[in-house]
Amino acid sequence: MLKAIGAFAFGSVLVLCACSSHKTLTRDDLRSDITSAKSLAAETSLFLDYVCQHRATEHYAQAHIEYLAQEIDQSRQELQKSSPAQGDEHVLQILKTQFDALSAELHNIHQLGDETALTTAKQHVERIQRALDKANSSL
Amino acid sequence: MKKLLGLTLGIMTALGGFVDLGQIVFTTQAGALLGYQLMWAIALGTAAIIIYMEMCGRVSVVAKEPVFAVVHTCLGKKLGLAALVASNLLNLITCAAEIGGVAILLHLLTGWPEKPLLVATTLALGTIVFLFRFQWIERTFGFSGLMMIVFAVAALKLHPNWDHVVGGLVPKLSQADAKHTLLYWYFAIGIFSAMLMAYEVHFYSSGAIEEDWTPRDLGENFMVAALGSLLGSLLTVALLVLGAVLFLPRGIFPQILSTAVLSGAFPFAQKGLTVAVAGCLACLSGAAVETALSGGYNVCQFFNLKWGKNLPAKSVPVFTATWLAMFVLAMVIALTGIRPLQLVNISIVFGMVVMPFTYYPILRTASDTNIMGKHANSKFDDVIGVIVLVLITVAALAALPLMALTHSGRP
Repeated sequence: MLKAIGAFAFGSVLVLCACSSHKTLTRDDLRSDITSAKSLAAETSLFLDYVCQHRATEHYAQAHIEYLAQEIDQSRQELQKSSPAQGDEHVLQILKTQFDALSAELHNIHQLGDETALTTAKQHVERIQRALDKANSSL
Repeated sequence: MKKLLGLTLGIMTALGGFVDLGQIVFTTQAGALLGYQLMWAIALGTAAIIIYMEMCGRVSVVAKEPVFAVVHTCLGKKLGLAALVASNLLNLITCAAEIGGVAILLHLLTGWPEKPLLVATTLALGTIVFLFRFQWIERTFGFSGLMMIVFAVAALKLHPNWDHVVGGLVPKLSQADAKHTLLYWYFAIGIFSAMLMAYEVHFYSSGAIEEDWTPRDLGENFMVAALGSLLGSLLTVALLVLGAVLFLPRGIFPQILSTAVLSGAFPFAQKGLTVAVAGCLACLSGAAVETALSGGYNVCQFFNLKWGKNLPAKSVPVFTATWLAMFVLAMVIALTGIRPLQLVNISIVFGMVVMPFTYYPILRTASDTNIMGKHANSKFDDVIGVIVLVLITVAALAALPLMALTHSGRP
């Protein structure tokens, strides 16, 4: 019984290692990454609305921006380590560019009380969302 | 009044047990991805945890045998030891994730840097556990966790589609495509697993002994298990609803704790946000305390050593050293920078894998008339217990393949 459990655990670790080390992005992986980028952009947009309505505390707003930016940077770094299948290079490039744009937008949000800046940021995020939609439909 | 205060054991067990970091993010993600479709997994998980929580409380009270004493007797020394090591590793990973989550929430509340907050959190929780008697620990975290009700109010204020909520109680075997079918089952098993995390029954059965329950308290045992679990379940439903109402239409798949917390405060102003963060803080702190104490309980019960939070620390050296070590090691893990959500994903899925080794011994002992006498399971209890155990075993076998195939639930 113990041997069977040991073998199961070892097999599981092997499966997980195999999953974590893949580097070539299939179309499904790319779609998944675009979905993730779109989600982060939508999260940013929702958050900007919330801040514009003065419903976020200052500490929460600043910290949430940090966490969103960290998540985006991590996704961007993971993309850096991957290479796409032949013919999908342009989609990967669009994805990287939009991640960079989203990251820059978050790093630019300093004045949480400046409604004009927040509205402009929201417009930029909407543009990023449209670019990601376009990239997704080209796959 | 004593009975009302006794309820806090169930509330803390359930809130710390299934409304922890993993459940808050995991369930919100399930709602954001699949709408109300996994309502049935919450209902099933609630029924299962009530049945087994009541059973392990009854075994503790009647046989004076908490969970890991039962595991030792039923599984033997070798397999029992493997179950102990696996359970305590999971407790440690979960404790690290919860402490990391508490530091994130404190950062959201105060803006102070996260790493010093992590150390301060560990010191504060360690001091509370060291100084407080068991009853005050459960009351502190049980009552403060009630702030999570703000999530239920937020879910109601966002007007969910009740027909769809009820429709979600019926499982669907397949989705539009293979990928979504796999994701559906991954999240179903994840929700079920998070509601049945083994440390809940380790903590609950030990708590029943800490509180000196006797066979006369068996009615209270059922009430505490049922009401505590129903409250936890209600909050889990609220999280799923918030994911479905707030995130699904916007194409958001929440990947960070601060987004999931925002859902509970969305209809409200700044005070609502503060209460939502504070409620999560209480639940995650409760979960960290539960997992650290469970580590100590498990070791002492397995090796038949003296244990008890209400005994002087010096008279229970192994117990005290183990829960303290759990806190310190968890803090070290969290300080390495591993993200709490990564840790909690591992603990939920691997927790499912080792779950049968906790629940089978409970069922076997609760059915044994030689040990339990007139308090042994009825035929009906046994049938229900076996059905739940079969489901747990099937889920345990499917958990790792589903984790690998869905890349840990990536949409």
